[in-house]
Amino acid sequence: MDIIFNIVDGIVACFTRNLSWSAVLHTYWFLFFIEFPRYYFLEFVIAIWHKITYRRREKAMAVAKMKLYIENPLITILAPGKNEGKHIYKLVKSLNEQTYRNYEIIIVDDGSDDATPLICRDLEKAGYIDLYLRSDIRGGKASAANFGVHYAKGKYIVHLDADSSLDRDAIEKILIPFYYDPKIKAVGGCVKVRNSEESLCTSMQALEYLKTIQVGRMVTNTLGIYHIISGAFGAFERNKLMQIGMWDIGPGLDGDITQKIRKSGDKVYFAENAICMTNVPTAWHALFKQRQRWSKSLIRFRLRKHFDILMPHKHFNFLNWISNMENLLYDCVFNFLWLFYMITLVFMHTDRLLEIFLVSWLIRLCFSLVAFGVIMMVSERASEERKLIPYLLLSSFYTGYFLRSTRLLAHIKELFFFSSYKDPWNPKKTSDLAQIEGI
Amino acid sequence: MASNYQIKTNLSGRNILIVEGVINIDLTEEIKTEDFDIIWIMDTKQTHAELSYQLQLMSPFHSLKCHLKPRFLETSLKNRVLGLSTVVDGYVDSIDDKLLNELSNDIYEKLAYIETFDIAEVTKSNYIYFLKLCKYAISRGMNTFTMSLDKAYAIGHTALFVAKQNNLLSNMRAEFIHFNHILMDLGYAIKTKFLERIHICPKCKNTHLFYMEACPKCNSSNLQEEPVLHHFRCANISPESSYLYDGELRCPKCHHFLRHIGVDYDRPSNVYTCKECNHNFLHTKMKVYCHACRKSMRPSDLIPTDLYLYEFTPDGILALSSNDALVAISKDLWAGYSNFTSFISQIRLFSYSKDKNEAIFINRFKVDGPNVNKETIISIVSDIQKRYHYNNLSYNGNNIFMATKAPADMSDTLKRLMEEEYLETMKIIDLKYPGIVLSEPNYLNQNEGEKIEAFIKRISKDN
Repeated sequence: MDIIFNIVDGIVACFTRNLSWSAVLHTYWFLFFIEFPRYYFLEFVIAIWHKITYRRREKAMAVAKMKLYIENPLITILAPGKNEGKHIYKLVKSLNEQTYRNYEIIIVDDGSDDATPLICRDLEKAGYIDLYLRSDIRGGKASAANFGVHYAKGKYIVHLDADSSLDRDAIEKILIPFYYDPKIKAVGGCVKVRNSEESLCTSMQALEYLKTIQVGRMVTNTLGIYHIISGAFGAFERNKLMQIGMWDIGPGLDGDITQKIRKSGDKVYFAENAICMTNVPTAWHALFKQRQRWSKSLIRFRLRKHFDILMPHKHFNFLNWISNMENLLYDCVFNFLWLFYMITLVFMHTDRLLEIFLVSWLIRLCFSLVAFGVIMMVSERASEERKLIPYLLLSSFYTGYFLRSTRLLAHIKELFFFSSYKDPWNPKKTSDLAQIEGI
Repeated sequence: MASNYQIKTNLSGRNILIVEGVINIDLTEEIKTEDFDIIWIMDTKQTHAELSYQLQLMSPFHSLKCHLKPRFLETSLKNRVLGLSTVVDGYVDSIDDKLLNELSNDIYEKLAYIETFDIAEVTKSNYIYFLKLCKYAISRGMNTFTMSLDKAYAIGHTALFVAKQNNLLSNMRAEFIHFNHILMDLGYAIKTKFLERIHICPKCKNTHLFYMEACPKCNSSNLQEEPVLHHFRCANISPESSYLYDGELRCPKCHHFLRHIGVDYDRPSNVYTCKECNHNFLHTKMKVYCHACRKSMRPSDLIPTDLYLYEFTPDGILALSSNDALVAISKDLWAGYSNFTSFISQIRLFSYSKDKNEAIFINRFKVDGPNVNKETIISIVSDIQKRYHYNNLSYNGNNIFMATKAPADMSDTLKRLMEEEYLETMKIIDLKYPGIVLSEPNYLNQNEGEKIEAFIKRISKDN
């Protein structure tokens, strides 16, 4: 009991005796000067702005919707993947419910070694899917997607992960922005977690997806620096896709293709109301591996392949520069800064570390509550997502420590060891060539 | 004129008919059936056509004089026989050849148990011909029969001994299949082994089917198959044609040359394109087109049919060697109308029966009247046929014949029944054909010890 009382005394001391406001800011400068302005304050302000401009935007979107239905173009729904047979039926069933009906479904099987070919051939025969393509030899996700694009007949291509399912108006919602602004050549959908109740790990990810995808991408979209169209749900104009050479070798090909479209001078857009549900890793180690892969792509693509965006040249675009710079600073550089911050914190306050971390948790909890308020403002199913509130207590550990250290480790691996080229996510034959070519 | 044949006796004492040119043995009066035991065709540089014609003239199924006698060809003719080799017992270079003697002895051993027909045509059907085939097969020891593919048959294959005889006329084929079924029903042949399961058209039961790859969308078979190439470096996958550049393979996306399969690129798949509807697909749909009824269908619509190996049973061999089979089979052909020649043939055929407890009773009556012509007679026969379908019915001139088979001791009862039938017929005639009268009925049956030809003469005599 004495220990608990001591801790409580310590916390109270932090706010009463030992720390003034300036001392708090001095101790938690990382939270107040790095995290807060970008992830909480800016998002809050933009969300308010988003609400204020809602009516005007909705009017324009209603006109765009009308234009969409007047043209009623054929679109291609493309789902490349390996060993995804078990998810395909669910996917096509959810597509059958769509409000937008003029679509063809192409499933690309990237060398599956399970029952996927049998399932897909049956579905093709039964008319559930329009085209089933199969590479007998695995070529990687990018090649599978490109294979599908080549045989697609639709004006727009909606790229899906096979284990996703869609809200019944999701296809319509993701297509409308193309008619909202003709310069928009690619639209990202909002990905949410379907298996949020499966484990603590998935619940935390559900919270994270709401914060970083639904709100985070709405913010970057409003600022014009939206830089990643999710591979799980994104729509592209087919001609544009062909023009930019479609997808290149991953991992992280979704961010790469968004960069390519932005570099070509066209706009990308985030449709926060086009909802796609996906299953996320249920175990921590699987999540760790997934995030390592995602994080490595930041170094590989933004820092290496598309480094020219950061440099002055004749096609220099300030928004692209900001977009990449923000991404690099907050997802990479500030991670190293965070490491430095943590080390200094440990060495400077060795005697009262517990209190320091408890206070930091408390501060983050307050920030998270603000962020959750923003989520509730933006989300289309706020009442259902309210059940995630208890997990805010753990979000400090999840985003502040787990994800940050995962990213940091991945960046170090990629910066110094080019480990993304050794990722079994891609076949070795393609990764080897990609490394030689520096792509 | 030089003769086209000579008859010599070989060292084994067999008389050999040596054929040296085209000759119709049946029509050559100088040659008697008993004059020769074996036929041997010499190589006189005859053409394939001449040789075929000669073999047909002495066919075991048509020629009365040659019938089941062994027949050989000179060895040098072997390559000129082609399709008719099934009616040749062997190829020898001289009449004293060991093989000739051995085979002939073997055949004659079997022929000792086989009754031959002494009349050319006895039934209104071709069954006599089929029975000759059976006899020939038994005389040559061919008791087991496999199916063989034959485009002439709707079902696409032959069964039983027809496997060895594929030169049947088209009108005989359906009858032949029926004949085979009769053999099975009578227990003369049995299925001994499962061979194949074939699929036949559900509409016309034909096996002449085309299996075609088709577009799953529009069903057209105008398809193009093209391999797709995967360029590792840039992850581009597209059809091979998009890579073709000045005789080289060059990636349409990154413009690099593809030099080495497995290192720069691979061919992960083949994609079909329908040239009619432009649909792309990996797997073609199979469609089946029936050559006979012109119907297009899915392979799953076809009806599976089993093919078996057949074998004559000992009973079958016994029945087919004698003429019992002919009697048994012809029972099936008894009832109904037949022309007068066939009617008489049926009567004659009946005499082959060893069952002497059964007899034939014939009611003959004449149609008379002012305007009687052939059409009236046919119409009356047709009416009687509808009413008494169990009789064997025929007409000759103005005479109408109704034949019934019954136990010999039932003659009185049968006569009474036939009288009733006659009276009933008269009523119909009175109502339907005014002015036409029927003569008194004439009941005929074969008397004890009366020869069949005499009985036939009595039946045919106009009263």
